[in-house]
Amino acid sequence: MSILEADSIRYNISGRQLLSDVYLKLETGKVTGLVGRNGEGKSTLFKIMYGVLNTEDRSVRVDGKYMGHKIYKVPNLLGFLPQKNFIPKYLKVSNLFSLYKLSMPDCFAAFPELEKCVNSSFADLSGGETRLFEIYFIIKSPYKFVILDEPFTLISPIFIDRLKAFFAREKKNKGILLSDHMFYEVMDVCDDLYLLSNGVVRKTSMQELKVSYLGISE
Amino acid sequence: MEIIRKLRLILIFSRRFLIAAFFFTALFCLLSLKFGTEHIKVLVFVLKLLTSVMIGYVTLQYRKNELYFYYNAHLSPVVVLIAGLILEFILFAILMPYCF
Repeated sequence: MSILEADSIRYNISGRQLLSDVYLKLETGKVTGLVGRNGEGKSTLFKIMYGVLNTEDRSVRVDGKYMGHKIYKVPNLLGFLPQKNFIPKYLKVSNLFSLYKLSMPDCFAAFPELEKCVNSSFADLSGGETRLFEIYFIIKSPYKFVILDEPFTLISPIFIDRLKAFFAREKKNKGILLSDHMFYEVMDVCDDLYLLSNGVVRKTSMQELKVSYLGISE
Repeated sequence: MEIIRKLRLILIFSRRFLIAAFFFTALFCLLSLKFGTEHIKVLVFVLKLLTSVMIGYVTLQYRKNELYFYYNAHLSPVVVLIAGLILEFILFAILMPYCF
């Protein structure tokens, strides 16, 4: 088992303390969820952990070893799915698979409906189809940990069920951190849950989230 | 294999700005042919450098989200931009003898 810890993360934006002394732990073999309202700093936290947003105070360790500031440069350590589609539109689906040596049969076994897209470029796909390919690409790349920022956005319900099954299979080999506003899907798929509120991250439970966050009394 | 993959990624990125950069290359070459003193040739080359850097930089700013595609291949935007510009300059150097 491997552990990634993000520690002592602080971030100020326009004089407002968005993140204060954040601590978050990911483990291989587990899906970890981070929930919080809009503007609480979830995506900012992910970008800081990934090393593409600078802040003076941060420490990201893997198995107790400090990994430097630009985590994305460490080979096969951390992959990141941003909120918006990020694969260049003019790239063909088949080229993405050849570029990263991904298995097409495996992908189409998990998501049979995507097989018709194999010779298309990403410009010809819907936002949801592109999103599924992006998630598959990030999860199947040889990263030890992956961060998924709103993976369920744009995805239709039938694909969400398949995605959850896909995450459950793939978490055996890696640690997954995800954030989404579809709380029930997040709660369904996650082993550990964190709540980001008022700049502070704390570990929480599904029951506590339902009561304190969603306002469901029982 | 990793190097080949990174070169392919740089080519994928370069496609975003090579056409625009080549348009300016052709434009500056035409200007140089028309008003081709030595000073003008130097000026044209400097303008060409500046234009390519500007186009590459604007491309990165305009397509910020695509940067994650390169981050996920452990490539920083600066490396991708510089490699793309070097590629464009090599192609420009191949074209130059036909123009000057």
